[in-house]
Amino acid sequence: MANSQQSWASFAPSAAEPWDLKKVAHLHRRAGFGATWAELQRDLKDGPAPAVERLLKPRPQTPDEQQLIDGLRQGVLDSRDIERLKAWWLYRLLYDPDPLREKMTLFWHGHFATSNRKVQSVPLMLHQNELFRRHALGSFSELLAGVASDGAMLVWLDGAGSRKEKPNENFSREFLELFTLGVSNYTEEDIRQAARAFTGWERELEDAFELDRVRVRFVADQFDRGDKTFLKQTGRWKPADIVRITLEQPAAARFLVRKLYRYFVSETDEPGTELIEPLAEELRRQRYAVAPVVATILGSQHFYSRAAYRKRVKSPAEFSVGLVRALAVPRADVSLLALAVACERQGQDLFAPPNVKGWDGGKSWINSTTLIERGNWINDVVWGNGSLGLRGYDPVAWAAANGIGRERTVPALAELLLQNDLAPEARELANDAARDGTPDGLRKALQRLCHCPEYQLA
Amino acid sequence: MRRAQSLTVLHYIRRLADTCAAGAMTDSQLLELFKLRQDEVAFAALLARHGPMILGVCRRLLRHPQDAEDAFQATFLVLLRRAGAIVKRDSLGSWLYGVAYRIALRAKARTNRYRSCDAADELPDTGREGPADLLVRRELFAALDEEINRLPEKYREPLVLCYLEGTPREEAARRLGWSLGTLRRRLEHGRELLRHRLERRGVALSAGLAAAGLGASIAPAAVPAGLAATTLKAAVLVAAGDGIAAATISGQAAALSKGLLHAFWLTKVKTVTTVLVAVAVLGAGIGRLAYHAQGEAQAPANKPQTVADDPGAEMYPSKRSKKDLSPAARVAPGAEDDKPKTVSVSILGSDGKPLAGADVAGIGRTMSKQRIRREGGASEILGKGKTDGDGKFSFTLPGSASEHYWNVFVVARGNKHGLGSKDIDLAPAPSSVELRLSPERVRRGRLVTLQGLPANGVAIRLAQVRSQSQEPGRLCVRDTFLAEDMPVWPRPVVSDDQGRFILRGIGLEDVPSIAVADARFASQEFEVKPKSTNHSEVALALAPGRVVEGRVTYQDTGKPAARARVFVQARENNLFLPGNAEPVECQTDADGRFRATAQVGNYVSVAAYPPDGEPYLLVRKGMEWPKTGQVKQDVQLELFRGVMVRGKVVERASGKPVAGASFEFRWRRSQNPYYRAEVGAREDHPVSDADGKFQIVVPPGPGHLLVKGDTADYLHAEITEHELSSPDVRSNRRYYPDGLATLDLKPADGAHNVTIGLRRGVARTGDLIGPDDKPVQDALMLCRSYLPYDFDLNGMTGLKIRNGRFALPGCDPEKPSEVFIYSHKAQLGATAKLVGKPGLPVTIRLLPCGTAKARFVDEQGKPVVKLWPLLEILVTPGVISANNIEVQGIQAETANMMNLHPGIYNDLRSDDQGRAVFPSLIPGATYVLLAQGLGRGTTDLKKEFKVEPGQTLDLGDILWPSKP
Repeated sequence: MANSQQSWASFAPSAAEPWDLKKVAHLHRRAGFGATWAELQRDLKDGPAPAVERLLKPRPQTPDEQQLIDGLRQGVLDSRDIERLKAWWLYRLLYDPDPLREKMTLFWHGHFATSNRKVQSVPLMLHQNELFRRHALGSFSELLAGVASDGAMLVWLDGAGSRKEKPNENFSREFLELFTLGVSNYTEEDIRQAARAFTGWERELEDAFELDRVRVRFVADQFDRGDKTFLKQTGRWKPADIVRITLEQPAAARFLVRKLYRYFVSETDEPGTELIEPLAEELRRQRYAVAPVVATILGSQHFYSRAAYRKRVKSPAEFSVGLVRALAVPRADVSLLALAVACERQGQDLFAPPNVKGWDGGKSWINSTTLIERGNWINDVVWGNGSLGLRGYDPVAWAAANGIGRERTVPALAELLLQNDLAPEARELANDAARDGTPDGLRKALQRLCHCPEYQLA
Repeated sequence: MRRAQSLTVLHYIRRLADTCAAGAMTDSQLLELFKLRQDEVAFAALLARHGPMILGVCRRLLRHPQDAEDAFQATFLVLLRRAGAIVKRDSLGSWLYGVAYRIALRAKARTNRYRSCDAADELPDTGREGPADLLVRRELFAALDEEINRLPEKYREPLVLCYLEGTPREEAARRLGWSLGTLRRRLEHGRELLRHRLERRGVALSAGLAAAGLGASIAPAAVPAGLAATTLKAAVLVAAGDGIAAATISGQAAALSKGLLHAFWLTKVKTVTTVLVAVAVLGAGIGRLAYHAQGEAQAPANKPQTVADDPGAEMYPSKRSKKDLSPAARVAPGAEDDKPKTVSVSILGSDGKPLAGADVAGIGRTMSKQRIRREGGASEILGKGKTDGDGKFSFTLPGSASEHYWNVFVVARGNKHGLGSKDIDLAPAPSSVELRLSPERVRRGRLVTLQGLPANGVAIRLAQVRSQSQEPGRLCVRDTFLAEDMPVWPRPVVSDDQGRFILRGIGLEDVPSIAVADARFASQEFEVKPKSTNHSEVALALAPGRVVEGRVTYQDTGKPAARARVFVQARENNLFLPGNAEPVECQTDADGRFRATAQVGNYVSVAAYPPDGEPYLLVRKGMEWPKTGQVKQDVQLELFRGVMVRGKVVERASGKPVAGASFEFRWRRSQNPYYRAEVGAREDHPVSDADGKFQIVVPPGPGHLLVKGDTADYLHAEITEHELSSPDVRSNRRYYPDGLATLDLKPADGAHNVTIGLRRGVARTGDLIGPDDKPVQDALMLCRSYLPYDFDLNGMTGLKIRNGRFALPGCDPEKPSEVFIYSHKAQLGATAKLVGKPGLPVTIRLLPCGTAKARFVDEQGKPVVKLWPLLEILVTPGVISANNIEVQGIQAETANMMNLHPGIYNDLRSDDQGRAVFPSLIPGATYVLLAQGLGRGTTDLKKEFKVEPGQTLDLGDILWPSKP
């Protein structure tokens, strides 16, 4: 335990490790999708505890915001357009008062990677997204139970149509391999037995007129009520029992914690037992409530250490949304539909992960094509793109709004975007660009800053 | 934008029609709608409903995707071809299944000869199967299809509906007219039967046969949009003969200038409007589609005296509303007096007491007077004003209202009461109407952009009010139904700085739709339906505008076309269906440039009309919006030069000009070096002026100018679809214009002059008497070229005869016209040949109808039960096509008995002994008996016979092979 406390000891600012802009921005990149100048300054001033607290306990949505979200959501359902669904989620990534929840929603989307390419139903994909959001920081156990009866998942992994006579094993296989335990922690027989407990789902159309109005229905007759021996326990198990028994396995908590570590801390180094075990224990102790573990991570010394700092590659959503957030691009100048396409081109097509394992992440995000696409998005945001309805960015207005003088604009942008983690040559290039003092010069400088390799790192 | 391709059709249908409860339309109603109007929307709905299942059958039987798609299309073409003949039924699925199965088998037999059993990879991918599994699955599916096809219909119907088409149980039960219990029982029995049969074949499918598996693994997810589109296109080509020529809308330059013009393939705004009316009527449970027997009003018939008791009322009682969609309903006499009638309207408040000072209007939706394309749509205000102290208001309904109006309705709105409307049943037209208004509930909304910003200053108009009331006659009313701004309709509002708006004048339970028109946003319509009681206000997200801009030039000179009219329309599907909003119209500037903000939708069509008077043709371009989040598209259009035709229509004998004649140019598709699919004659059909003069710009190359006189008095010419369009058009039907000019102009030709002579025929008058020598009060006369054929150039659709006197206009003095007369009420009938000799009234004696009976047996002599035989009067000899797709020769023209005696023929089936009885047969007429069984095309059976007066003809045993 002492060891665990050491590993995840709380961060306390010191002379050697001060609470500085780097750490504030790091927190916002990992726990959310980046922060504006004002947010950075606020959290810098308030210190680490309030900054983390604000992320863990955000203000609730105002009734006005709630109404807006509902209206946009209804528009998605009416349009039946998956692009509109992407735009709706991107709206939340950009503007929701609870960025950590959205970050975790994205985590679960990658974890339970379900693609609309097969599901072919905007309503089902929306409902799944809402399931992830509801349980984003809640109980993993409840989330698993929800996923086991989620329409999109049942279509995606063929649970719909799995009957007692012929249970479909696709879902139970992934449930054990990708969602809970990981390979070599169960047997083929366990898959078969779990599959029996997940039977009884039928797929049907809500309305003969509308083929995307698919719904799944539980048909009690088709559920296998018999005894199942799953992970050495025998009983007339139902899905909830399968979830319970699975989460009793020591491997379960470790498996999830490893994934959380990779998501929040580092993609580069495989964490040792001394890092994983304490978190796994915490997760078990909290009955699989996710929030406390995330809180431990975000508040830890380790999180702000070299082991974590710039040890992840920004995902396309983090990159594209992050740029818009950091620059506080005026809403009227944002095109969410274009943003969705940008993410897709950079390799992260929301609601369409490449396979059941989700996006690989890490270095795989970056190749010559996606890098160009990242550059294109920078261009579009900075210079505008008429055909996408994007107006160019106004760095002068940004500086004025934040009380930053002309001379300070480029250095401030370097702090905002890179926290000065850039090579001197790069800084020089940015300064050169802005030397003529024109707005276009500032845009050029901004563009050069965004092109720094460090900007690709989360 | 990416989306489930199959949804587009559905979505479209939903948007267009579901707002008015089209979801509740049965197959039969859709089919009727299609038959009635050749309406693509209805056809698309059928396509959407049954397409996936059919594609599934085809894909399972045919290895090659192209073959499957061909078979898929063929299946729908069969439906199309037989749409006029299929016995009414509320579930087409099973019938289509059989057709598809047979077509696919045929195709398989054909393709197997030269294509080895290759790829198995076209089967739907279910995830984790290897190729071997797929092959096994394919065999299994083939067996499954075969056995499903062999199931008795009562088991197959529910199986097809519920498992292959995924229809919810409740819906399936409703469609089949069974109780839920019956449906469940039959489903279970069907499954059991299927399982047994498959096991007998050595296919162990017990597990795979349980409900979900069957549905999930067999029903394919989607019909690719492209396939749906081409099928629909093919359907319309078959129906109309030619793509662009069919893309015709009626109306003149005036209509064009009103922006009532859609672009691309097939565009019939007015049709849609009428469909909406139809749907509204259907949705309200009225189901009476009035239909104007064209030309009849002008027929110089002896005006019948006022008929006290209306024969039609009995013949087609309005209670049978939904069945009255058959063409017979259209030719049936309208039930109202010919004299104007005062309709007294009582407006009641929500408390049931008379509501004084309410705004009220009586509105008739008229049918077009033009005789080439018969499309209603315009509205006529029959009366408007305020209710008096007793809540009363009255207006005058013109005589023969059912012949002039699609429907007539009252709409009212009072203080603290919401807008209400009520359809007036015109048969018989009532003298009083009562409309109770519900209390007003103010709706609050807030328009926002996708980024959540308020959309301020947006003009919002109330586009539609959908009544939730179950009360009969309640309508879904659109603002376009009102001819003009009226106090009864709530005024447009503008969103405030916060995007907020308030909608007043809507009843408590009604659902209003608002439409926004603002260059910043796509034109779009929303139903304002608060999702929960938590919010008194609802936020509505506006999709961003998409700009289509470009330039129109003249193809021959490359110069800009200034003042060209450009119509931009975006839809949510790539079908050539009109969208739910009117196209956006703009005009090119001096440099030929245009710019328009399109509606919501990823499929955009742009049409350019040359400036008036310029000898150029219209051009259309369609495109899919790129998946890039783009907000702008550039479109370049070139106007091809046509040839100006100046002409005159005269009466051939006297040289007298014919005013009001209408025209349609049909461009030959085959052997026409100039033919281009995207180019065509302008669609604003000219009408001849008082001097009989007209002008029209036609494309170069071979084509026909078809002319229809202003009345039905002219002799008919005859020309076939193959002659008009191309011999590869599958349906070679006849057209009967009054005049015809064959043109083959060169592009270099200057203006071309043409005089078209119409020959005036003779209105042949006569009397109908019964065997007792007394006049036969009411009857229907069918005649070749007047045959009910709900499409363009065929004149009236059957002559209603009242009081025993008739006058058939346009009879040929030299050539006899064969007529078929049927009196439903008296059960009498006759055939006769009328020669157009003036002044000699003839007397036709009607004789008692005959009856035929038959017994259907299979090869073993066993009775075939529940067979659906079709009986048609052969009016014009020719090819009677059944389920064969390719048709040689000219199509016969037949009148289905279902339309003359729907009460019997709609539901006629062979009984337990395989027997069927066919009553009400016209003595001397040739009948064709076709039979239709489940899982087959219409027929392998075609039997012609005639009956003597009063005779019961025994057709004996008729072989109906057990295997298709």
